[in-house]
Amino acid sequence: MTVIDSQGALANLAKLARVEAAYRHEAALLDANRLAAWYEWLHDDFRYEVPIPLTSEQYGEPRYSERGLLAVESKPTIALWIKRLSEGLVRSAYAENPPVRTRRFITNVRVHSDKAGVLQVSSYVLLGWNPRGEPPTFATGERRDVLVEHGDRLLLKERRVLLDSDVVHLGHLRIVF
Amino acid sequence: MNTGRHRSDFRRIRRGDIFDPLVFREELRHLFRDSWLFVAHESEIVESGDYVVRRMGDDEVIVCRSRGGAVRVLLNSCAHRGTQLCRADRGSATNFRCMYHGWVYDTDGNLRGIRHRRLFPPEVDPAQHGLAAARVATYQGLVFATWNTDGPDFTDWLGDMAFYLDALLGKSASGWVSVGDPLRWRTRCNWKLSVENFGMDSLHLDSLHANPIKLGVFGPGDAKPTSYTVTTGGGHGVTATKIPVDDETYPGYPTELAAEFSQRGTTAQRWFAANNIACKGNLFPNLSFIELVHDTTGDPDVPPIAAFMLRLAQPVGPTDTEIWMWILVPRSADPVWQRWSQESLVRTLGVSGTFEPDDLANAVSVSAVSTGARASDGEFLMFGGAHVQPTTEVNGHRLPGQVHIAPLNTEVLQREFFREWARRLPAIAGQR
Repeated sequence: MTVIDSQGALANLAKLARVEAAYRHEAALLDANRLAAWYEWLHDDFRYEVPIPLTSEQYGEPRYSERGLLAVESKPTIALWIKRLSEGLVRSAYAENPPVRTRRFITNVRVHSDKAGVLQVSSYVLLGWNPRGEPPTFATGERRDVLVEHGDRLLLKERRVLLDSDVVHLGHLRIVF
Repeated sequence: MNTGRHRSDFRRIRRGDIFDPLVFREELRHLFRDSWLFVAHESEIVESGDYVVRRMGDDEVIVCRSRGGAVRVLLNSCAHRGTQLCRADRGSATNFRCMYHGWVYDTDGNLRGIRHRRLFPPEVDPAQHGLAAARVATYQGLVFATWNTDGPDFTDWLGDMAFYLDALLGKSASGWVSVGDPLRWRTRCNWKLSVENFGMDSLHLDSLHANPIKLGVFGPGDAKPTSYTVTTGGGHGVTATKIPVDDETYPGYPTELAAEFSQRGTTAQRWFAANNIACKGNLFPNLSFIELVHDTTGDPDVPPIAAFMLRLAQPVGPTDTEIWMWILVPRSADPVWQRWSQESLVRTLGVSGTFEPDDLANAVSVSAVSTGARASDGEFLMFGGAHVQPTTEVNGHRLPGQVHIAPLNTEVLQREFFREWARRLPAIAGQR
């Protein structure tokens, strides 16, 4: 039994390490504004949502709007982001150009389930935002992801970002958490 | 303070006056306190006891559906010692109870209970200590409120803008509903410049928004539209940008809704509401609206789709504004269509969109370089369209207000907005 448990724990650690490695790589790509490279790890059915945070009267978990969204994207709409930043158009992408310095810190990664190659993963994100001449602004939240095995790779199929601030204080949300 | 060399025509506004902290204080004290302000959409407070917490200028209010069914707008501050009564964004309540000393108010704002009543003198009359209640008006599903007890009724304040609100919102027989909750974001700009950028200015479309337009958000870009820009007095204004077609069409709406729209309103209102690729405007001081058609926001499964939104630029400080965005859809529209319409707006005019972040970048940059000692002495120039003679009749339709026809809306609305702004501020008006 002990041997089996140890093997299970090792397998879970290996799984966690694999997910964390993917997240480290992802954060580095996004912080380097390499959106086209980041796009490569999106599943064809990718769905990205940032629901509107709400303060309710009920004690318990923080609540989020059932239908209200601060951001909603899919793989084809992200392709439009990449086109917006392409060589011929980037000069008129005024929100992103000149680029704001961002730094993503991903912590508290937890793999909740792994069934038939589909992983339910949650993580915390701290994003630092540094426009020219301004002190940094920070945003924090929880990411709830669905990752899918694809050969020897993982693909990002779903991401729901639960922001902690109910009002957006970053310069804009044309960024990926 | 000086409103510029050409004070009477508002083609120039001194930059320092826009950002002056004393002007900002006067705006809160006179302009926001005395104007009819948008606070909510009726669909947000459907059931008795439903409430949302909103701001009127720098005051926080409870907007609630009372037990009797009326909409009440109440100062969110206990009449006893000032504690905030509602500390959530929205909810449902049978009454409002103060956490400090337990005073209880009903949903009409009447004081219903004083704890330890015997510790207060007998002459203390609960009827005299209800919550401060604003005057309330609802129009086409929009809820407005004002603290001004002596000012005009809402319909007088709205004036000829009623014709255009009826044309745009009254075309849906079942009315409109607000999807989800309002989006909120902060930006480091002055509220007036946010209003003029969103609700009035169209000149910036093919420069500031060249990028998403090249991405095809508005189609191939070969339309040759005409803009009909209307000032109706009171600082209100609206501009419709129309495609040149003979038939009455409602681009981006499902066939059954378009058929419904074509049965509503007067002939002149239908002419105004139809064939628009974009129609936007502002109700003085800070409620802007836009109806537009997205050819695509990148989703290959979604056809060209219409969208409608309300936008409040809430004053926070001379260079700080909080934006509130409501997405409205026709109540009777198919739920899938409603979702497409919502998502298209989030991807363009929302804080994560292809348009709004560029607008924010611009607005922040204006504030960053217009508040310096030298820059403050400079002026904002708003000459655009000053040579266009207005009319009141277009294509055989008599339209209320003054109609300015041009290939693109210019700076007509800004001049009317700032004329009203100056008129309502004693410190500014005294200089004129």
